[in-house]
Amino acid sequence: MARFLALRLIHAIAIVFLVATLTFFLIHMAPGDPIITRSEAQSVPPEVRAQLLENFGLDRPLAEQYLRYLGNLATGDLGYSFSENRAVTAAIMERIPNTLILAALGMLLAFGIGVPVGAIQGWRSGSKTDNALTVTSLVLYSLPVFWLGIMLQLAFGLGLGLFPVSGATDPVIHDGLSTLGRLWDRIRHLVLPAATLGAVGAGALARFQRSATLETVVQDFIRTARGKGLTERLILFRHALRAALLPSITLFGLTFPVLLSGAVLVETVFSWPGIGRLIYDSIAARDYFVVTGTAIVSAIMVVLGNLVADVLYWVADPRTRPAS
Amino acid sequence: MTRNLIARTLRSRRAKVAFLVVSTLALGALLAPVIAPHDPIAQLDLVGLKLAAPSWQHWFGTDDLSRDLLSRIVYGARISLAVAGLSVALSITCGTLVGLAAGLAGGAVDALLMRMVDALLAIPRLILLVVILAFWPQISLPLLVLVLGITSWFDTSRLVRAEVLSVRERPFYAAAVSAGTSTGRLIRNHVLPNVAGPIIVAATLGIGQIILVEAGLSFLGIGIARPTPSWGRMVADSQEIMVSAWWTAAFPGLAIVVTVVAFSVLGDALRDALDPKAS
Repeated sequence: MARFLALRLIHAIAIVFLVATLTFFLIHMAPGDPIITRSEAQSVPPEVRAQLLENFGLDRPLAEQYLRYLGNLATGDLGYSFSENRAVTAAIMERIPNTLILAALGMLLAFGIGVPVGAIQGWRSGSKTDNALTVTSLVLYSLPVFWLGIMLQLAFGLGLGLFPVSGATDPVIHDGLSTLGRLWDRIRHLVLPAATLGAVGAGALARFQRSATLETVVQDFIRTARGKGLTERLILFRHALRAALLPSITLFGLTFPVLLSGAVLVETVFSWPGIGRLIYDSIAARDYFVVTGTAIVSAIMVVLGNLVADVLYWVADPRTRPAS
Repeated sequence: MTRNLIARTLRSRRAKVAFLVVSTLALGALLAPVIAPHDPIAQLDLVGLKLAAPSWQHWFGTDDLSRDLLSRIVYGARISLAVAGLSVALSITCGTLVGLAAGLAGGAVDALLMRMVDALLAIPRLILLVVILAFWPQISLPLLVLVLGITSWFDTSRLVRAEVLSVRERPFYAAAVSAGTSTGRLIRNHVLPNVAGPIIVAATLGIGQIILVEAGLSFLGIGIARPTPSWGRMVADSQEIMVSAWWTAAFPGLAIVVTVVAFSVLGDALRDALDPKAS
């Protein structure tokens, strides 16, 4: 186990290094520099611009900039945010908890609904239920997540007035509430964004789980279980689901980046103060280092998610362990 | 063989409807100037027709600049389909080449290419696109196609590599190699025919996914520049006015949903038709 973990960890670090390198060169492919491209900076006098470039080391040769950037990254320094006037790391750290809460809840909904629905479909494939659910999950999977968010805002927020449509807390009354009241306020603000993210994810997961279950139910051990005279319920829960659930552990790692992409859009729609909304704001403000910083941080989150998935798989399926 | 495949793909009613939708969309995009009742960027009447509700004159209503929404959606189909079609063609080509190279070369080349793919897949796709595109002053159609194409081939390359590795294990491949067949011939006659199926399926499903990604980018403000009508941008622009004009948010979004669903259904149908296990 220790050897396996060490190998995986080295792999993870190598990937983060590659991502950092890629991000650095990709962003340098765009024309202009971070000073010129800032929207309000068209009129910056040349000497001020030169000074700014020097301050941030942007006048140095690319290779030197790259090495310095890697060095800074190793110490957790992701650069400086022009629009927030503080370190990018601080700005990101402040927002990560909000994104993690939203993503975790979205994932919980997606797995909690998508996996059972897909399993039922695979088990009863070809039935009326299966057909109806196939169409439903296909539509959910094809929805632009930002549009679904807007429609839910229109219906449940603005139309029925059931839930707040923006922010993580009520800007006026939140601080005056009791502890329980504040928690309730946060939960009410979470409902629509999490439902949006979860609905789209559930569609994708149901599709996946359906085919995983379909592949399992034709296997010999299911026939054997039937032959032994086990009840259908027992076959489904004891035999079929156990085998069919394995792939969804891998999916845990795979859905994470998709969920983060979705979070950028959902946070934008609902003005949710997470790193997705930070990205949106920094695009508008042309805030160079925030964009690179969030890319690296989200890649680290994805790599960690994959690491967790690998370990879970290792625990759940002895076949994947290397022979020792 | 090809005719047979089409027939098997369109066997279900669902697939037939999807095919009809995709054909209609393609035709609509092609003939947009003939079909669209109005000029998509003309401000018809800023006083009288601002945010007009759907009516017989304006089926989908008008937006805050009094532009006809139906016309904008018809023209928007051009952008969505052109961007999606071209970038999928590019990404499938890249993915196939990389997958072939990795699968056939093996060893260090394979390891290097696949680690690179791992790294690229670790950045959430939308964030990767933002990193590349956010700092371009103006985004043109060729740039968008190029960037979407070169950020979408990672899955395809893994798929092709896996297929190549499995083909290499089969006896007919070993026979061809021992008969002294050249590498080019091996690829053309033995590898490509076996990977064609999964590639076609990936391309069809990929079109729907790229339409979603392009719409998402436009929504974030980094799509094709205004005033060119784009479905994602139309939804984004509707956010402030939708309280009084739900149609400005609803119809462009529905256009995206219908298109993506149609391509997904076709992709699924193709996969079933190509699956030898399904009877």
